[in-house]
Amino acid sequence: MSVSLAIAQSDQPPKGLDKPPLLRARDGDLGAQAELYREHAATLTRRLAHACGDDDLARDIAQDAFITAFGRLDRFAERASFSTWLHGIAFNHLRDRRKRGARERAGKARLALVEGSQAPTPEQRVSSRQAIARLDQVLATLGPKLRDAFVLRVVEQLSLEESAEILGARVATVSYRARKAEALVRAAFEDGGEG
Amino acid sequence: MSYEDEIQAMRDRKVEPAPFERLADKQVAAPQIPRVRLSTAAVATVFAGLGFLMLFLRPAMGTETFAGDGRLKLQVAALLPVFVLAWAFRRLSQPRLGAQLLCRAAWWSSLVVGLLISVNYGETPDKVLGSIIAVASAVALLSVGERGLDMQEPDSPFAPVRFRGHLLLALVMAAADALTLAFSGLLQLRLGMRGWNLLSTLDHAGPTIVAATIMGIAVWGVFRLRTWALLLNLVANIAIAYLALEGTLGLSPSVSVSLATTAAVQCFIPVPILAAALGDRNAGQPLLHALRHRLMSFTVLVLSAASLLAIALPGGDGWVDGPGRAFIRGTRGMPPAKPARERLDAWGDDLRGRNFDQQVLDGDFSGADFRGASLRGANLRVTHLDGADLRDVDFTRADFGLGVVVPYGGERHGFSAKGAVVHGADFSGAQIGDEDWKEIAERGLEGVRCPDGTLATREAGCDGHLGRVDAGLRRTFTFARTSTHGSVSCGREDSLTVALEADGVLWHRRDRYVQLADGDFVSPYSRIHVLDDGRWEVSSELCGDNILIPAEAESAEESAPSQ
Repeated sequence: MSVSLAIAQSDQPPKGLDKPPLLRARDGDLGAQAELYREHAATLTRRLAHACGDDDLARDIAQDAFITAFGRLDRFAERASFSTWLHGIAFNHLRDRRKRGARERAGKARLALVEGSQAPTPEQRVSSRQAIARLDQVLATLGPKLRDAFVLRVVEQLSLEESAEILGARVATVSYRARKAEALVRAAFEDGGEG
Repeated sequence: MSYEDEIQAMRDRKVEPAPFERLADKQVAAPQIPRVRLSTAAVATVFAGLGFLMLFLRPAMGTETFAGDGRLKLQVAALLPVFVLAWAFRRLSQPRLGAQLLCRAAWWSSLVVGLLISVNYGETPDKVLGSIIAVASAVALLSVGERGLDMQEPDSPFAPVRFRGHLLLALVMAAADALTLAFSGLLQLRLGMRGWNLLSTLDHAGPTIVAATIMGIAVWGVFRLRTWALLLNLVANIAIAYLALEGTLGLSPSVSVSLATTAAVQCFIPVPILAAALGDRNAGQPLLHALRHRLMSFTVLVLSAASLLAIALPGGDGWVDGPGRAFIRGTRGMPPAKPARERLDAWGDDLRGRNFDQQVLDGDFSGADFRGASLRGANLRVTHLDGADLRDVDFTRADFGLGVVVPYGGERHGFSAKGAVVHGADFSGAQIGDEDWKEIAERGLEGVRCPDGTLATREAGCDGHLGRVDAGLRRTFTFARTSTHGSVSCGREDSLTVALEADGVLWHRRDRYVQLADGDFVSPYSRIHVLDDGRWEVSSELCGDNILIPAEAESAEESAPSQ
């Protein structure tokens, strides 16, 4: 049942509080959905922000992922953890957004590549925030598949199996992409000079 | 900062998620279908599904039996829409574009199928059920309208920038067509199931099922916004319109016209999209955008009203071509020519002056006007000409089956011409049994030329002038063995007389199951191979292989029936 119906029922007394949040959320319990959201939203949004390089877009995609997940909880087979399943949905949304905005993002990426190839100014090296911006610029030069694998494996340090489950790819493929992406990023840093 | 430091900084980075409350706002903002409308559509869907279920169970509820001729008589095809509507019932409340699209396709398909059932089926219960299905589907379509089709899904592959309305219309119509074609294909499979012969089955249902599959693939592709799918949809619609009218799909005229009409309409839908792709910036201006909803509602109302009116009309021409339908399956030039099919126009009872030489007329032509037509050498063994106007028709060497009744599609068919008028017709060389001739002669034989070439007399008609094959052109065989295939007994212990005409044409007599042919001994029904020792090796669809052993010449003459 859709989230809106669950919201419409939110004034009813909660039932089955002894159930795990996942089961209650499946029954349309808004409190349980909020509980799941609070538990997973921050991590998911951060990882998406790393993967897309845009905090606002990451928040938007994370919300879409939660809406989709809550609408499809009856299909969640618990083959993987809820977190992995949710991340899989979120990265599907991300891929879709990338497809739709491919042309614009390609333009941005090209721009980023040009800017990223320039030597950073001393001011750009002084704060972690600037460091992230620089890493974002480098990541923007990677293809989306390499970037996703890099973010999940290198930045977020997820296991190969979990990364593969989220990205819907084979373990060997994700391993290859992550290694290749890491090599490219390292090379970009070395070319740009370390501080 | 080193590479590792920058990675660590990224790990430590905080990105505040949006507050949970915004989820609710976002979901509420999505278009929703009011609950009352959903409930109405759900109830209507149940009614439509029950209508199809009743159609499925009809043979069991009437005087018919569940099984006959070794197979079930249930209308299995009716189960397809039952399952599709059950799926639609389950999914119609889902705020998913794919689910909403397929619900529309299921209702549109059911509306058209219900209408065609009420128009085409002969018995009132079938007509009523068809009407219930059509009206229920119309209620479902009208109650939901276009609600739910305007949702933008972040994870849906269907996210067109332009032409959303065109693409939605193309999707719904193509999916509805695919369902209707699949339903037709399943109906045809029943006809083709005789003896579970794969080739026979494919011959009946193959083109329709292939067309349904191609439309299904086109729907899949268009939903994913693939250009090839749009082109495939366009080509498939042109092909379906042509094949339906040309007769290859093997559907009755009204079903064919219906399919051709929807296919023709669909041909125009992708035109603006393709024009835009070719650089026309003004393509696809929604001229009728404001009227679209009203136009759709009006169409739905008209179709459902027509299904109600059809209850009062007499039965139509059925769904699938075959016995009892206005259909010609011709063989141009006798075998081994490849059998050809030729369709009359969908409304054609006027067959004056038409040429059906050497063709097999396999259908119901009751009341048709054949005046002056040429049916030289035509095969009329399962043709119904009751009440037909056969004045001045040329039946030279036509084959009326000699009273033979053949099994076809689980039923038995033979020639009939009760109440037909044959004044001036030429039956020279025609093969006609005594009983059939009685029907032909019922309304007088004025100016008729008898099968032996003489003119009919006022007093005796053609009595004594029905045969023309000389005794010397007869050969008599016995079957090497008898065999039983289901309820059919093949081969006999007594002799089989085969007549050879002067030009080598063979025809069988007194045998119901092996039809012999001429030329290279090939016909749609049997194959004959003359062995070195004079025996004939025959193979028929029903009876399998057998050997015909020629009798002695003097025995053949003795056994030849007198003319």
